Amino acid sequence: MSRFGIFWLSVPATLACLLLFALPLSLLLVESFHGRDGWSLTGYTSFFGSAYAWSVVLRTVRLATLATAICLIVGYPAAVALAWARGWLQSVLVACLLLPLSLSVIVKAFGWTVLLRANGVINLALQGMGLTSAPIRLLFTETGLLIGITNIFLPFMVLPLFASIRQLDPRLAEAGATLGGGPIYCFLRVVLPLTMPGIIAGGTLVFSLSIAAYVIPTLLMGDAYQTLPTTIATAFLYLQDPQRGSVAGVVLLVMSLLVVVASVRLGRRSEAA
Amino acid sequence: MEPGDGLTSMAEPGHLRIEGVAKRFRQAMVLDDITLTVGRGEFVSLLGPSGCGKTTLLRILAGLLAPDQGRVLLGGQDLAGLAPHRRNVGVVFQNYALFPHLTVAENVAFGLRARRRPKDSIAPRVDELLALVQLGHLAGRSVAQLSGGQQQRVAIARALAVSPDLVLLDEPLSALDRKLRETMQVELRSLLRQLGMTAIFVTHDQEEALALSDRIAVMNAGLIEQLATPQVIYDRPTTPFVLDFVGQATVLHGEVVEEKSTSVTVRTAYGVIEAPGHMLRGSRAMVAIRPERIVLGAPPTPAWTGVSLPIAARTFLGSRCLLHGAMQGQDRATVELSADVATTTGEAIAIAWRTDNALLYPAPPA
Repeated sequence: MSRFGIFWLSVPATLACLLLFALPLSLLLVESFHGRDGWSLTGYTSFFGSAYAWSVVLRTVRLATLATAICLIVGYPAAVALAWARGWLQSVLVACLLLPLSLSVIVKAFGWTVLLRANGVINLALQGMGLTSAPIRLLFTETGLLIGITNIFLPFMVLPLFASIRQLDPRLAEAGATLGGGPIYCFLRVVLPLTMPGIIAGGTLVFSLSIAAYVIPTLLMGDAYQTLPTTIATAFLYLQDPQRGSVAGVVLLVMSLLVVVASVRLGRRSEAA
Repeated sequence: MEPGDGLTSMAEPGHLRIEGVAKRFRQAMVLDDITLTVGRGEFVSLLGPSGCGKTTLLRILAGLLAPDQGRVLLGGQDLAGLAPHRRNVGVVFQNYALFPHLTVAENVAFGLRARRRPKDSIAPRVDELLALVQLGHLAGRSVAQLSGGQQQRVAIARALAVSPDLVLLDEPLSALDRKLRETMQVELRSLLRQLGMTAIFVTHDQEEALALSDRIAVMNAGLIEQLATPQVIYDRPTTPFVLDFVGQATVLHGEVVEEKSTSVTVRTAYGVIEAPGHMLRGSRAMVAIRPERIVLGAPPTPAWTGVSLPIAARTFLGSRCLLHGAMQGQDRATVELSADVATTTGEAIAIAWRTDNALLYPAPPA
């Protein structure tokens, strides 16, 4: 097909992106420079001058980094199992991975509040096994939030990893072994570098989803724990301060863009190597 | 060098002994009691159709599969339970299995680094191996930029860099085009000979096996049908399978009508012939003759025998040509002649061969 033909195929999607994403985001950007007394940078100066805002940004980044790291550690072996499974086992594993995606995030987050609360399933089980005597606090703690986030976003890590591991020629690891490389050596020198595109793609997805998560922190942590998305909501809904909300929105947007740019560059480099 | 002739000792590095190795997958018997001794520096081919177990045997030798029964000794050491990375066995994989994220030099250095060889010894060794396979000028290239023949050379250099006691080659030339394959055959053979490397070469290509090997093990259905030098495999195949798998032949079936001291008389659909060997009168026999052993015309002396058969087709091969018989049942005929011999297809011709060049087998059940 000619270049021109390919261009026309992309027109509907381009229009949808412009209308649904670019337009509202431009409005957000305009709003962030528009204070009560007209155009100004006060939104940004007060945001970056506030220790509280910085702590929210850092908390958001730390939460997303931890969630990404846990998803990678939990998801990598799962993706290997998925890639090596055959026949009905693979179908069952794929179903286990994909079915939760059809559930609303709100339902899943509520599910976790039921599991994590003091008289919830997890605490009852721990006490039943005699591991703890009194209920341990999970709900409204960062641990509980991380459990919820990693559980809900795990498929977005496993799927790109699975695609990447499935493409890996199993004979490469065998070749490494016959050359004298032990299992750990071969994993670090052959398997890991060759599945790096999957790690980068999965990491980008989970990190982006985690810094933008609103429902999960709201339900599992409540209002006292603020991340960037929850401060945006608070600014718009309760404080009626659209400039403050817009500035936080722009900061979140820039962070997401940085992650995507970094991932594209990393991906290029791992491909070129 | 023949095994067990006293020149090779079991404890010598590179001396390989396979004793009664068997392997099943689920219920299917893939390897059924394989015993094979390979002397140091010997080049032995495992030749057979796909599914004959040759690749399974190779994987067992590399340690990538464990045998159900039997054992493998390399240089006198039992390899049982030894993981691939603890054996000193190099493998050249089909389609090479080069590391795509590493350069040519890094691929060759992989085994040296994995074995923690002294850092300053690695680069000279890599240079040495790349020079050996004539790829020194491509050391910094990514392997994806190489042609098939160059990738093949990298795979060989990578396997040989760690100085293995045994090198296993799994159809390493099958992905190359014919001309390149023939060049690489010669190169590979002289390289391995130069290094005195013991090699096991898996192939389904009989010409390749005949050209390269010191000895060939023809495998069928998990068993070694015949283990011998290429000359003996071609001239004296011990079973109809080996005869059929290696080279072409004219094959005539018939009934033994007379037993003599060193030969039998067989009545075929195309005439009564003599065949060397013994078989009971009245039994069904199969007589085979290699195409180039056959001449046109009636038997010139009593030491010759012959038949007359119709010719269906002629294949021109350049200096030679092949005549194909129009045959019935299990019989078939291939005659190789000089291309300037004029023949017409459709008519019957007389062919003859020396009786002792023919091969006699009991006819397999139809």
